[in-house]
Amino acid sequence: MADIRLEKITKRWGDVVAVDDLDLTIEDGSFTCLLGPSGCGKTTTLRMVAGLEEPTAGRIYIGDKLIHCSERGISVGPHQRGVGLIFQSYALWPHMTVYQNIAFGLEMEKMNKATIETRVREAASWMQLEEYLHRYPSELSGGQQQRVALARSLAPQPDCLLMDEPLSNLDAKLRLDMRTELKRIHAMTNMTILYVTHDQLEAISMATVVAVMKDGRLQQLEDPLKLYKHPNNLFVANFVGSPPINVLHGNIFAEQGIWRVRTSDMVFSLQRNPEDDVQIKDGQNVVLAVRSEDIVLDDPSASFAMTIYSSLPTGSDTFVRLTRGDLAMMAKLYESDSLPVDSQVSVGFRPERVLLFDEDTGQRISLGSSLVGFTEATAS
Amino acid sequence: MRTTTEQSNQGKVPLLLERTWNRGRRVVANPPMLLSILLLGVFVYLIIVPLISLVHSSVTLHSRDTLRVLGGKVGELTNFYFQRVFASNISEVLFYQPLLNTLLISFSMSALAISIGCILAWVVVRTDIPFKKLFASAAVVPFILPSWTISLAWMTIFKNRTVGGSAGILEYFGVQLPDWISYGPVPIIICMALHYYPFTYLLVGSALRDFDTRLEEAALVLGAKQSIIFRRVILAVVAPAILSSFILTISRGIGSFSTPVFLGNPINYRVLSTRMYASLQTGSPGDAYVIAIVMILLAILLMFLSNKVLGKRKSFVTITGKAPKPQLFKLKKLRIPVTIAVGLFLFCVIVVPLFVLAADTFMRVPGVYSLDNFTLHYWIGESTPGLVDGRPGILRNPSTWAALWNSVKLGISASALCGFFGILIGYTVVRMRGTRISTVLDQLSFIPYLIPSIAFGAIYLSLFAVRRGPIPSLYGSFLLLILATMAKNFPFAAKAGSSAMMQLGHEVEEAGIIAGAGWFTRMRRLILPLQRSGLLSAVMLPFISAMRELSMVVILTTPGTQLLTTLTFQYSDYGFLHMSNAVVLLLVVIIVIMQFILQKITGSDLSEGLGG
Ligand SMILES: Nc1ncnc2c1ncn2[C@@H]1O[C@H](COP(=O)(O)OP(=O)(O)OP(=O)(O)O)[C@@H](O)[C@H]1O
Ligand SMILES: [Mg+2]
Repeated sequence: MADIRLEKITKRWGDVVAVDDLDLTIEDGSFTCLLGPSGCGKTTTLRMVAGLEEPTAGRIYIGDKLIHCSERGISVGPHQRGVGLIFQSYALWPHMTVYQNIAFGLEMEKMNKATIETRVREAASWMQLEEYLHRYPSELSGGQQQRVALARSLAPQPDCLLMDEPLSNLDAKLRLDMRTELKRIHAMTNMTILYVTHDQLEAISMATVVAVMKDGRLQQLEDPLKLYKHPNNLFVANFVGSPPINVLHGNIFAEQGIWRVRTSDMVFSLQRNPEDDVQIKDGQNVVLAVRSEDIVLDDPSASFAMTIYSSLPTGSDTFVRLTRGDLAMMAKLYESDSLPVDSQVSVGFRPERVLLFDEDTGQRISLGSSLVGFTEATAS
Repeated sequence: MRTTTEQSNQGKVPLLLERTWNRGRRVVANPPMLLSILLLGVFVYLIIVPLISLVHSSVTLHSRDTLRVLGGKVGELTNFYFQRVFASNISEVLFYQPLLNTLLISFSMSALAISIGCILAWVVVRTDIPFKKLFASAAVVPFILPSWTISLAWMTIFKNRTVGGSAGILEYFGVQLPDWISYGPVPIIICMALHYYPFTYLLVGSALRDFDTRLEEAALVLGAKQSIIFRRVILAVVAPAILSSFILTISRGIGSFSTPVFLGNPINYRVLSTRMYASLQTGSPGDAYVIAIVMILLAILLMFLSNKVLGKRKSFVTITGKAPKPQLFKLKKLRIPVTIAVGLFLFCVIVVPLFVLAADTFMRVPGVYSLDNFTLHYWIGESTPGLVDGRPGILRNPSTWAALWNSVKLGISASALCGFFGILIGYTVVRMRGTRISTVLDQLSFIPYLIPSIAFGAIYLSLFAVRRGPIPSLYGSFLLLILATMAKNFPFAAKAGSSAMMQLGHEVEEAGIIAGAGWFTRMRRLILPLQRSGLLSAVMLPFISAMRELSMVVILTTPGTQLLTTLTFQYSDYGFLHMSNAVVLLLVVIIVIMQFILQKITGSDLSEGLGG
């Protein structure tokens, strides 16, 4: 058992609150991504788990072992926690060869020479580093250095592997390669992996669980695909997904099981999702949010007219910018097409994909409603 | 399963106890924390206690003065010394006149040094003068040489017979020289300016080099006249560099000892430093300590002013972005005259002094410059009665070798200790960053920089002259020299150490922590091997500065612990200018070689050694 549990973890530096009352459980054997914008406290969280930073308050468990408790002043040394850590800068020791880098941790565990040699070669072969064992880090490419860092952390066979944006220094192609590599390592070793990134695509494509953070607080802990479909709040909806989700501001009214959202010049009628279980107040400020791929053009059913501002074919699909008055949306079409500028199209939303959020609290109101009708707003 | 509420069952007091106990154990086992405490102890012992002792000594009665104070007993608190220095019938001689002289000399010397430095920097950096490389490296040489080289050369050339002894070269050739050229403020100002102008040259030179010519061109495009461009654009950008070199120069001027002692003492022209030295020599340490306090306060005041003024304007110098290569000012017709002028100037401040000193050492009878007067006696001669009191030539003289050996020994031990502490200070300050103790350590290590060397010597004298409780009397011991030299060089060592640590970053060590390496293993296998260049500059700079330091050690050495620098001083005190010159030349050779090695190994330029 090597799950990681953070309970009410807070980290403060003077007035700066880097992590704020964080409760987070990282399941044994999961690949958990800590996702959030710059400065939200991801690195700090990771370093607290590793034992390089001491929380101001709270408790941390790895498996059954209490490794940190501020109340009782307990803090187990980093090495006793059985974690491996990969730094964003790799932190390879420049004066040691690849072999020596990988072997160092094993030497510290007082293994005998032969065991060390086997372990180093094993780790090196996983990472395809056999030919480079006698080179110095400065004689390796960025990708190779990254693999050395991985091999160095894997060689002592830790229960948990912590990684802090390990791929951010690589170019796009290498990054893709390494993602597949990391996913394979996870599958092979079944280690618990805590992976920090601010790249939502990376998180969604690799993780089994994603934890989204903002301002030191946990926003959502979710399966990556659900996260995309059912963001808990406006922040997560905005942060996850590219291009960013389309939003419309309006007021909501309930009428015979139908929600009507009135924006400046339109009224959307929404069939509420049966799973939604919320009370709304008439006239409440809401945000209606639709992902660009949930926008359908030339929709015969409930639809409304918009103007094509411009269209950007990417080869595989097309991004279309639509406008109507002061409203602008980005739609993603799954075909490559160049649409005539300034032409009118009728726009609809795919069923059960219209998200609603409380504008004031940012919390989700609807898991996904369907657009069932549309009228132009009359000045009332 | 685990219970998350297990703690809430316990009482509050046991919890508090447990927390305190656990935390305490970790703090004690935390090497950076332990080191901070250790270093704090070292700093307190080597910097704070001596400073307190200086103040204390200035207000306690010394045995010699018990008769002068009615009913005074040794060790009693007294304002006797303060009163004597500031408000008595000898205050004029003891303090006010030397203070005025000090200020006069520092200000005029700085003005002169800055003019020379600015002109030289501009010509070398921004004009199309030939031999740039040669001029650029020659321009800093006067600062590398011991500060009194030029004064000795000046004496050798311009001495007149006012104070007896042999005549200078000019008098030999029949030129009658008035006193004000031979001794006193004028030669002191000139000689000091010639030693200190490299400060300005380096600072202004690098400001000019980094200076974005686009600013200049923008002004030109806007139709500004050349003179306006110069005033409004160039001067505005370079002004902070000038200002900071002004403060640097002037604070050095206040503490400067060797030049005033050589050129001022013969006609009793005193500045604070030489006055203080005289007080120590004549057995009035109380007065000396009061003067030392004044000197320290002056230096701190200057540093404070410079922070005030420069704090706001610093950003001017650091204009970032790729500036185009500066357009060189075309000297046109003036190119040859300017080249000759610069060449001649550098020739006069480097080659001529060294040549004159060298020539002088080959003259049997001083002041007689003819071929039959040529001798190697002062270098390799056997002891001859009647010549320099029967002393053999310096290369044959055991006292030279003893002094050389002492100097080297001092340099090596002080710089090794400096390197050791520099790395530790750097490590601790960087690792503990953000905590109060780190800030305190950082600031403490900077204090010796604020204290003029001779005052620093006085501080150490005041503390170690007699045994005080647990602090032994070290006066006359070599250890005292080592301690003082080491402490005086802490600022540079600490700076070198912490910048090396900063560069290294913390992750290299943290990777070792995760791997399970203990502190000593981390230091030995991960950190020290990566600190070589930092260690080297933390060692070499103190070494060179120890080799040429005079003003601090002059009051700490005794005949048993003579150094090369104090030996030259002593010879000239006896009037054996030849011997003094010969020893200086020996010193110059050693220093130039060391400097050369330092530059070759570290690739660093001299500006880093500005303080040394
Ligand atoms: N040693 C420190 N002292 C003071 N504040 C700190 C320290 N380390 C981090 N912080 C602050 O804590 C907050 C969280 O920092 P952290 O490094 O955890 O962010 P992050 O999510 O990893 O960001 P990034 O994606 O940019 O790496 C930031 O506001 C940062 O400025
Ligand atoms: Mg980070």
